[in-house]
Amino acid sequence: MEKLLFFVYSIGILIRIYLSFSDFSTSIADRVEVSTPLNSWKRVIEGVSLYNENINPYDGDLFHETPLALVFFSHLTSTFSDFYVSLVFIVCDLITAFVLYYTSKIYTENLLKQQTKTKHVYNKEFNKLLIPDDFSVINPFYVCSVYMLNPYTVFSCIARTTTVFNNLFLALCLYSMVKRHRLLGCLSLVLASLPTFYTFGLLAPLMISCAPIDSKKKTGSFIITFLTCGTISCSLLYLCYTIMNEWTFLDSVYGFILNVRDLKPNIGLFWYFFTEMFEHFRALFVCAFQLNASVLYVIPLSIRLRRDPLLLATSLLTLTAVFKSYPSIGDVGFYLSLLPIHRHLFYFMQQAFIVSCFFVGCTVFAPTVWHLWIYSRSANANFYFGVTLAFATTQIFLITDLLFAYIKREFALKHGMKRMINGKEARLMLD
Amino acid sequence: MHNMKSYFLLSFLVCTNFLNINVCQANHSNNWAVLVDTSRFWFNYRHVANVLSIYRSVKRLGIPDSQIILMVADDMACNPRNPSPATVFNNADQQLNVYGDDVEVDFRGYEVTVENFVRLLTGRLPPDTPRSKQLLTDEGSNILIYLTGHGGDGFLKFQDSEEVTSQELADALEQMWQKRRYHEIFFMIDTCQASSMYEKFYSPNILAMASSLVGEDSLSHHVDPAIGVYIIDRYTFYALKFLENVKLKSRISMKSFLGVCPKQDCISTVGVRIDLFHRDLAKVPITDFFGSVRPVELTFDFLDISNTPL
Amino acid sequence: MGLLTDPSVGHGALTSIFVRHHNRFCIVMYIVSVVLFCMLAHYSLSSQTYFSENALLPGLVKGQLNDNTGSSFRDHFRELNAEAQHYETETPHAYLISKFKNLRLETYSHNFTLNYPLKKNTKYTGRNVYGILRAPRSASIESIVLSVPYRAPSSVFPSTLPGLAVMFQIAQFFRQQIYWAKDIIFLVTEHEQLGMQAWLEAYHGTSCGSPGVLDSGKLSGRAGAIQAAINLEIHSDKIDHIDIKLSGLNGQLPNLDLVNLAHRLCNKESVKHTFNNVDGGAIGRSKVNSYYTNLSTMMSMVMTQATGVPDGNHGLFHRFGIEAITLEGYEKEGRGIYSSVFQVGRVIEGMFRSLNNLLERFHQSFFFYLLPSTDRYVSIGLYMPCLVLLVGALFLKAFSTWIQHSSEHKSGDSSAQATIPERLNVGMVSVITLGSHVVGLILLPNLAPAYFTHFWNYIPTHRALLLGYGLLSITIVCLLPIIMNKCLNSFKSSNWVLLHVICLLELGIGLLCVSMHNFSLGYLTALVYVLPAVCIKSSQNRIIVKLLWLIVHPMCSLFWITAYITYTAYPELPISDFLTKVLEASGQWMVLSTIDNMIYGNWAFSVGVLLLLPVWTSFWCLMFLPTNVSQKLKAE
Repeated sequence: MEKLLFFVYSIGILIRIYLSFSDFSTSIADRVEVSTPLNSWKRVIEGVSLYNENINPYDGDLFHETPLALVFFSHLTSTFSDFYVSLVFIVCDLITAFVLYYTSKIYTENLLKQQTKTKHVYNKEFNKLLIPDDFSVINPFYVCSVYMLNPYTVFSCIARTTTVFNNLFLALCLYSMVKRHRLLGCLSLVLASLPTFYTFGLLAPLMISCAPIDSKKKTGSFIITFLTCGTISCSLLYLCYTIMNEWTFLDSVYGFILNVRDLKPNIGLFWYFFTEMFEHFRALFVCAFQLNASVLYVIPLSIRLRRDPLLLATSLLTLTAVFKSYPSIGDVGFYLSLLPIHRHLFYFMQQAFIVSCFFVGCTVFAPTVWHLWIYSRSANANFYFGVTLAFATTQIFLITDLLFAYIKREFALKHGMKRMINGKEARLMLD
Repeated sequence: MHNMKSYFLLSFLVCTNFLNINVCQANHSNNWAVLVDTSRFWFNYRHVANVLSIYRSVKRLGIPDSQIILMVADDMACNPRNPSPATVFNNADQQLNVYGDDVEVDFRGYEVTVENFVRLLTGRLPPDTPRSKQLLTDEGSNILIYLTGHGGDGFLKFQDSEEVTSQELADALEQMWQKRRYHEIFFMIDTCQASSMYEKFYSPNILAMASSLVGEDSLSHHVDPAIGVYIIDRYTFYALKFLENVKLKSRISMKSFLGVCPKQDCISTVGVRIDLFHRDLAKVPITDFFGSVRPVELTFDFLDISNTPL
Repeated sequence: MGLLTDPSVGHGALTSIFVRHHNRFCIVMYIVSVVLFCMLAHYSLSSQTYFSENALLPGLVKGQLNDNTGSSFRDHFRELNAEAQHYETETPHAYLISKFKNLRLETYSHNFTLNYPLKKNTKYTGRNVYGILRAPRSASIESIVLSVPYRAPSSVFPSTLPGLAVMFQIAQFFRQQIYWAKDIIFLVTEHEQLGMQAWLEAYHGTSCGSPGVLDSGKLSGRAGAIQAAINLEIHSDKIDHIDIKLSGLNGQLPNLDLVNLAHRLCNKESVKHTFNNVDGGAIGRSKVNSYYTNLSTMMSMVMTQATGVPDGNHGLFHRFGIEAITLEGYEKEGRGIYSSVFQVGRVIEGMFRSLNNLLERFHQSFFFYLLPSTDRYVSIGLYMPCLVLLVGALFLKAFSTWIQHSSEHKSGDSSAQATIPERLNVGMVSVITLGSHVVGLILLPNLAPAYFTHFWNYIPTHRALLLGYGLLSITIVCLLPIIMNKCLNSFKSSNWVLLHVICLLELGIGLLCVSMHNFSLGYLTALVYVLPAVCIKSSQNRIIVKLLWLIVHPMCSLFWITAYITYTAYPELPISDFLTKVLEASGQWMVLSTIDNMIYGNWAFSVGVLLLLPVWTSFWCLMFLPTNVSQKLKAE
């Protein structure tokens, strides 16, 4: 097992090193699917050089990272040469893969323990639905290899997008969820969400997982988690204020994300709608889209998936990656690597084939149609948006399939695989 | 007493006859023309030729430049594609340069917008607008409004980027009526589906004529093979031919003008709206709209002008 | 949603019908696609061409080009012939420069160098000459190009000197007119497409091929942004017909409005005009095209477009967003009516007047079309379904294979036993896929050929490439079955469905992507590969299927095509000479493709090596991977 793991890690590192130092890195970094105005490395360097010249990088519409990130990157670029900066990104990816490995391991072990406790309740014929023991060995391996070898994360790493650091903090947050470590969880969640804002929704699974099993003290625990997060975010924001000595960064970071000021095409849904929008409707639609992306799904999903906070976190991350204002494929790659954690649900998934076909197809068509649009001038924005829309729809199908698989498994565990109603076989339908 | 009354009545009648005013029907005291070409680009040469030809006819029949508002959206005479620069022709025989030496364009190029047009009609202009850009009409003015360009069902395109709808135009004319800015209007329009533009009018004393009905396209007349463009539209061509026969003191009626382009000439059906116009068209001379009434004061005293400075 | 139903109950009725008879459905889809494609040439499916751009005002101007604007055409032509006789193999640059100066154009020359990539220290230099006629009354914002490729008397291609004399006549006439709103660039290029490519790269300041191969130099004079270009290849002063060529690099086509403009103006000046020299060539209403003429015209267009090689200098303009066509004038042989150079000159004058009227670049009409004749077209909405049917057959096969495997899997006993071999399955599959793609990457035209020619630098280039690629292919073809059978005996599985599905999907998606750029290449490749791919099963493939797959190996396909072309050209050759010729020709093909890729950026070769070869290799591995079932059969 260890040998395979080592093998996977070395291939991942080799691919990243080879591609970072070849001609591909600049062309990949320029692609709109990989770099958005929020995570582009070019903007980071520009902002850092402005900061070093004592010019406020938030004055213009250029830099959208938090001041903490600004200081960090400024130290990074001044301490290391270009070669080592790439290595830093690769090392970050490596650490993220490690953390995800252990997260998956601990989660599966917890699941198995829970299963052995409640096994006597189930009928013998449900044995095939139970999670086999070797899942705790295989699943983490899959999680790690998907993260290391997934083209989405590889491209994101080569292009030096700051999504790499975001993914690291998100992985730490998930790790602390399964370890039920409140402080680490809150800290990593705030660090991940401060630049991107939408992942604050992960507060719900964090609250659920950090709460004690005993139902009486749950509300208190929720409040403590919430307050911890609030305190940490306020103090970090105050720290940002002391770095910059003014509050303009709030508008540059959060105002930009919420107001969707830059309409450059990306894999999201915002740019096309807002290009066509009349000015007097803009505020209404901005509110509608942002509510959809940030808060709409948190409470309903938390109530339904309260027994499985990691699945809740996975689905919230997926929905964020689809509906946020500036998604990139680094976000997509991260939640794809979380899917093998729920491998016990794959048996119930119906549309794996179509979803994977469309994933691959859309990924390949997007650059083709972009080329036809921008360079050959034979296509137009509608084609690119069509491909992007198909991609978003595929992701929605994926997550609904996963969630429905969870529900079906719960049902099957309680009531068996086949039900007979009036002598005929019953089918489960989602209405 | 009775004798004095009849004497005054008689002299009044004689005077009014000299002044050639139809005292029981029309009472207009001045004539204005608003001539608009709304389309730009070289391939719309014919629209510019249309509007400049009407301008020439109207000027020839007496309306002075100070009472003509000419809006031309593009400059064909100085277009680099024009093989004979500084000229605009309306016929392939190139006999008549309708651009000429004395054309006064009031709104040129990008100044021809829907906003400027509606403000011009309604009079809601900023106080510093030059006189040549104002429609200084009063309740005795007869206005000829001529529009040409590309149109559709219920709209007219301005500059290939915006549109004026028939409702907006009807409302602008109603504002003019409420503010007593016209006595009678003759509305002529030469575009595709032109009659849709006058269908929404609801103000009195408007006579409207359009080159085609809804669902029909107005067609151009002929090509000038030396310049390489369609040079004039059918409806305007036949209207001009008719107007060539009109002199200053013609008594040709509006009724005959309304039949100027039968279907075999125009191919599209000419539309006419007469329900808002309350006079008998057979008795309305064409010069009521195309010519100019110059108020004349008769005086029987001698005036010594020998020492008056020039 | 009815989509998310309980999987243990099974699939819907429709799905199971598809899955059970999927082979028959695939064959039916293939046949329907071919039939639909052939039907495209018929009147009912093609449409009459029309003008979308109103600003063109095509053919409204009376052409005024005549012989009385200065020197006559005879004088130009005589002078040009005399000068060309002096220089048997070179271009008379000094003469051209002085001629342009006499015509009162701004004259410039442009030097470029080609560093031949497959031989060390081999350089070719060239020089283009061009003159700019500035628009008299507007700023130099836009321009139109009239170009003629210079061919010395020793060239293998037909002479273009009459075309050059026509260009002088036109320049002389245009210079006296005042109605030009755009600059006109009169360009004389050298070395066929190489000079054109160098000039375009220098004009736009980019490099399109591999870096360092074509050094395009600097231009000392520029006009505005080029809106359109006409290339002239007129072979004689007595012209039988004008052939309008439009196929561009990588299958890109010019806007259909420009093509229609050329046909309309030829009609107006009573010049016989054809497309691909195949359609009747009659003018106006007397043109009657039969279905078979239309079909053969369309097929010849598809064949030309599929190679990705432009059939004239115009093809290099398209990637810059410049619409361009070539007018090739064929000589009238024998007696009868011919068109004079002035008629053709007036056609060009009319085209330039129409192009002069334009205010924007061509954007209204079609960029993707097929032409069955000069006045009919087939739009992308009609011909794309042919390819979608073929790719759909591949997807159906993949889908059915997956469904069949997952339903067997679920009806099996415990899921525990399936996981361990399944894990290794994924690993092996990814190793095979990755390996075949790495091999493809190495064989890219800008990597491998240089090594092959360097390694075998004592034999001619084409033989070196042939040897290199041939040896590598034979190694892969022969070694892989042995490796699969012997070394991987420990990694057995019931079937390799995952690999099968991945190969089918890769082929399908790859073909779809290729055809979005170059429909002809995608469709012809699909016609060749889809049937054999559909015949392959996940396990236990018969010998016939393996042989069939061997026949469609990319290199073998190249041989068959070359063999067919050689046979039609030289039907009387004995077998040994025929085979030698085929091999040599194939080698030459590979060299040309490589050079095209490195100079112009033609990606046909790259597609063959990056898409077809890895897919072929993966399928080949699939057919020889060890399976449990065969083991059982052997034991019994």
